[in-house]
Amino acid sequence: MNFLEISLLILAGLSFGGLVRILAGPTVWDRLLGMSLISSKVIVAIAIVAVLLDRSFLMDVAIIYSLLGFISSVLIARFIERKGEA
Amino acid sequence: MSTLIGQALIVIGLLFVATGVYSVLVYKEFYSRVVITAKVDTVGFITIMFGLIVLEGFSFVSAKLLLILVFEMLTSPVSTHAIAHSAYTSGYRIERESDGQLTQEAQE
Amino acid sequence: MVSKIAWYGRFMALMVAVWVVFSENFSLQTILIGAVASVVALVLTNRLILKSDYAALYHVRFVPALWYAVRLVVAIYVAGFQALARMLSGKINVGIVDITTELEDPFAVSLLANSITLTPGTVTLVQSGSSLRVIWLDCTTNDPEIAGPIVKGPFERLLQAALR
Repeated sequence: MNFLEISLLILAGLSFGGLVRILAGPTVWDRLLGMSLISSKVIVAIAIVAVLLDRSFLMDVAIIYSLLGFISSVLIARFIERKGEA
Repeated sequence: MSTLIGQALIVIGLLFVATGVYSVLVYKEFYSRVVITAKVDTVGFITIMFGLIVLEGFSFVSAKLLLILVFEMLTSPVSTHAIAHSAYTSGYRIERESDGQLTQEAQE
Repeated sequence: MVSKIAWYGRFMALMVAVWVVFSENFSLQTILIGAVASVVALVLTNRLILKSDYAALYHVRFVPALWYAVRLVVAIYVAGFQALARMLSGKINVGIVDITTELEDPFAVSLLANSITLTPGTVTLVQSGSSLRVIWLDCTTNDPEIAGPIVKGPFERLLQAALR
């Protein structure tokens, strides 16, 4: 078992913590926080896979994923402001 | 040698990320979760990326890793700020012991 | 005028570098395509999107900006270890405090808000004009006069140097 594979497994285990926060979080902003946490872990995981397999196009996937995570968390946060009214 | 340095950096970064997840799970109150996680998780991200750059050496992949690092350093505080601002304008306030009463009107 | 041309030259060099990294191909053809594309992008955004031109809006000086980035990374690590120590000792006292800055440019104020979100135990909540309302991890005082220098750290001065 490779070092990078073990760190991928640890990252996968850690992103379950964010999933628990999404499922349990009392408010909707806790769920958003868990979502952004998971998205940053997924970016790191894609980068590790790209280094592991030595495929550089996976880095483009990581860039696009970081763009999507940023835009989605900002948009949802703006949308649920004042409970979606006004 | 560079392999060892890179692996050590990745281990340190994983420790930081683990503390971020731990703090998100343990703390009782939303604002302390936001403050701790925004910082510790970003530190872990930067450390893991630096470790990967050291592992990879000087190539186009490491240049793209640097690009992702800069992009994440620019956008991660913005998304944290958006979440905290959304909670604040929706009326979520810090709960004090002296008040003795829940002031979290937004929580239903 | 000369400084404006030099500014555009450095900005174009940055864009071409990003283009070369994206296309993973360091040849003359790639660099030429990147230069043409960066000129087209600059002209189009200057004409259609921005109210004035880039050099007037983002008058960044490059060497102090680089120094600012280095200081930012160092401060991020210091703040990370501080937050870790504070977490392990369990001393967490979260509060909300108002601070004001001397910066006036909205770009500079948002950069300052970004930096202090990353560094000393704070997250910016509301920004209006040049006053910020932040969550503070170790809230000892509510006075903006005392809290301001602790929260802002060296970044206000560095930003003033970097943005002229």
